Amino acid sequence: MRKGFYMRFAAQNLQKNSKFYIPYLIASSLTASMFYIMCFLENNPGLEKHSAQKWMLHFGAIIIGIFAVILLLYINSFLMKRRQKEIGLYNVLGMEKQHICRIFGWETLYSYFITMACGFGVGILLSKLFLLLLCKLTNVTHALSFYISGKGMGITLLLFAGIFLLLLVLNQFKIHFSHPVELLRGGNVGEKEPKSNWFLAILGLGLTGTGYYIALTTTSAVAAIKSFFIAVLLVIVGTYFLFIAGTIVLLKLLRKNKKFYYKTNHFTAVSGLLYRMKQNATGLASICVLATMVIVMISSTVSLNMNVNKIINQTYPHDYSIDIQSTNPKFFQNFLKSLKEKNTNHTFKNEHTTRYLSIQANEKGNNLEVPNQMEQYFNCKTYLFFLSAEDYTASTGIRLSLQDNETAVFDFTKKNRLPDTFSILDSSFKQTAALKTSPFASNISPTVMENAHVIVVKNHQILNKLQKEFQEIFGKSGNYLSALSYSYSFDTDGTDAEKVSFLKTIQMELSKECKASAVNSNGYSISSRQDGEKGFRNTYGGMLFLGLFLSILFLMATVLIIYYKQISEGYDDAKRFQIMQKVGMSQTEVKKSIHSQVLIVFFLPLAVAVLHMIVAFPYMTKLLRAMYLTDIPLFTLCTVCTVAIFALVYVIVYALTTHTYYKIVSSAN
Amino acid sequence: MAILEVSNLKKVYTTRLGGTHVQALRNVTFSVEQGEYVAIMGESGSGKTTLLNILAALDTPTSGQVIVDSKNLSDLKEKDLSAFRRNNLGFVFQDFNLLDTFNLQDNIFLPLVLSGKSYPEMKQKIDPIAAELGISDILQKYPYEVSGGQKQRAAVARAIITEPKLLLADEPTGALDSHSADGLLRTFDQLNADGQTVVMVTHSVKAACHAQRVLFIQDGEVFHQLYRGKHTEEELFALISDTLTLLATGGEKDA
Repeated sequence: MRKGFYMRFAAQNLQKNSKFYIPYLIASSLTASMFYIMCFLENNPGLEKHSAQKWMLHFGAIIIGIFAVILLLYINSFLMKRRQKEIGLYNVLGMEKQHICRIFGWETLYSYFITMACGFGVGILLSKLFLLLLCKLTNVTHALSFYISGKGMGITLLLFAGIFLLLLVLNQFKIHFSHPVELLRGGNVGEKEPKSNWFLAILGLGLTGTGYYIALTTTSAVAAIKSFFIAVLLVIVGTYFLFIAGTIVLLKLLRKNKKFYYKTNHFTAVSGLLYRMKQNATGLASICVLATMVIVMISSTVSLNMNVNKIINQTYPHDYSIDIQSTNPKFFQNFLKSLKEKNTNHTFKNEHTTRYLSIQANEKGNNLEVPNQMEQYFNCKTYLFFLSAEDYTASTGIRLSLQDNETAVFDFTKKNRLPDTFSILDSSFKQTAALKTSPFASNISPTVMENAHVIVVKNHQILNKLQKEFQEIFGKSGNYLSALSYSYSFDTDGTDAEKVSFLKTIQMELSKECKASAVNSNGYSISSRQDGEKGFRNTYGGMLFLGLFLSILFLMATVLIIYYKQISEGYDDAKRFQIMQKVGMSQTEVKKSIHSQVLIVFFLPLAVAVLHMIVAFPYMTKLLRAMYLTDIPLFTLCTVCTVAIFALVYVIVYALTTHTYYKIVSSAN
Repeated sequence: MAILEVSNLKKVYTTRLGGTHVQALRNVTFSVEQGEYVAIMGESGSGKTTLLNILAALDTPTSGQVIVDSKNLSDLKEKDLSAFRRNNLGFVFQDFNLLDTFNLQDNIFLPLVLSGKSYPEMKQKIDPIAAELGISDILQKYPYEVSGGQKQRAAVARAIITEPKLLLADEPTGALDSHSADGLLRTFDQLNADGQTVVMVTHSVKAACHAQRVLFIQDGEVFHQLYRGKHTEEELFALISDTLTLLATGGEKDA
């Protein structure tokens, strides 16, 4: 054979099959470019090492990498199915299998080069755009620099070389173990009726059910993040099984019901769906899972970002907030005095101080049990903050009159109230008033908040008595645990940058003071609004960016799966369409029947995705609450909007691909 | 009474881009009586299949008319056409045209289900037909599980379950081995003996000599016809062969 024959032949093949190969190459190029962009962002020298953002981008790159393998494997299997006849023809015309393999080798090589060239072209162009988007979303002002990432390119080249090599090897195997006559008949080999696999169907139902149960019964979002992850995995696997086996079992049951089955509308629909499901179950299940992921990611990250200002205001009502616990009762005053003296150029506005005793306990009926083992103590779920009425009034301006055993209680969440009478350590109390105002200026952490209560007692004597009782059960270490804490917040004037630098001053001052006081048992924490805001915007913006980025990728995959599904169904349906017409169905009837089947197959994944979302919703609200988002109506709105937009995109894609589908069906007529 | 009347049928195909006209049927006139068994013969490209498609109302003629059971097909609307086709015409095709998604029984039920018949009614109808055609045991099987002959018998069952006025067959033995073909032709004989009108398009001489009358089509016209009359099957075979030889060698000059 002439030199370069295979090369030219392969190029011609790609051209001839452009209807299949163009979408394939577009998909692989886009995936490559997105992978490159992720690598480029992750390796940007402007990014802080070990930051949450870098970790998120790294995570994104891994997901895209795994996704690329799955997506290209899926499309490749479709392409090979469509080209069986062609391969059979070459074989019959006298080409040996090794020749065909050589042609496929060249085709793969071309595909690889086209993918890499287009991928890098688009990737480098778009990387600037995504860089700006990332900066904008995460509120980073010192612009990350634009460059062409050699490392990113290297990783991308390697990953896709691996994927294409895998595809090539798989295809070679397929060609090697096939018979020419079988190939020639191609897709026309009698499609075997799918078997109902009860085991898989029930397993799918069980897995999905278990996943749903876990998601619905999870009470605490943060504690159960691991179990929710398991629930997600269960539901994903369950969804695949349900689509693959469950639908077929259901359709077969419908078919057994003679009264239902032998109706004009049901007759063709049930048998047609049975056939369609067998071929498309995996594709549909994938669409369903991808759709769910897109909806969850977009709705949660968008609502977090829409609410970021409110979240920051709630979490940081003041510029600075300092918590100090010390066995030295004078420590806090001393520190504050020296801080103010050394920083006369800074104003201290809106000062707010709360003094309290913090005790953790387990609620056992009316008894609040305080374990005397350290480990058990720190695992207690209920957080109690004891204040004297005098200190409460000092912080809030609200006057209370209480008797010796009377308390006024502030519950952080309405759901979890303390019992009306309760005993703790050796004291027992009676609730006489429910307070509406927290003595603390800032919100406590949402994870603690679920089971936290402020208990105001009559006076310092009672507080001291409680302190002593608490101290005794721990012996020596009780000294520190039972020390009073101070929560101090204030505002200053100045720019954000000045405020951030003042935070460092306070930190240094505090650690110096700790050393000077020579008491080992000092605990403190400082938070600054400006510093925290940066963190919030960074994390939430980064999550939104990742959510958007992956959603684009998943949406592209969805579109692609739909496109290939429609094409392959079009070829199969064309023949059925003809037969039914010959047997006495009018053209409109046939069209209607096929249309309704296509519609069911098409919107089933979307419907199941919405169902998944509805079940995940209660858990999502809890998870978001742990991320300081309490505005559930906003999240609901975001979810509904996301579903609506996604459905709209889906319908548009459907309309466009259906056009191609009908063209195939009617051209065969 | 004539169950089928075809008069001055003409069909011209125009290629997609306009240019060329291909005349598939020039001027075809014939009629089929109730209970008759007619074979239509001709070489590939002579217009047989076009004629059958027009008889089946799957295609419309350029001019001329087809009257089935005193109904003019060109008067029927697309919507009524398929119902008419379902109730009055039965089809048997060369490549069976069974749907892979249905088992044989459901394939046979298809036209009845489309007409909205109930399951017990359909079951009542299928049993004697299946018994007659010898497919009672394989009704639950799928088309890809049975032989060509069995597939074709299922297709015949589908065609006659509606008790059509006219059974149209397009090369029914074309994809069958000789043993199955003989069996199928005997089935057609039997059906015809029971009063079924049959029109069969074929280029198999063996198939044609089962008919009572053979029409020969060439270049879109009915060129000749032979009646079986008192001839035996062997004599008819010889007559048909002679006619075909004539058609192949000098027929065109005479026409």
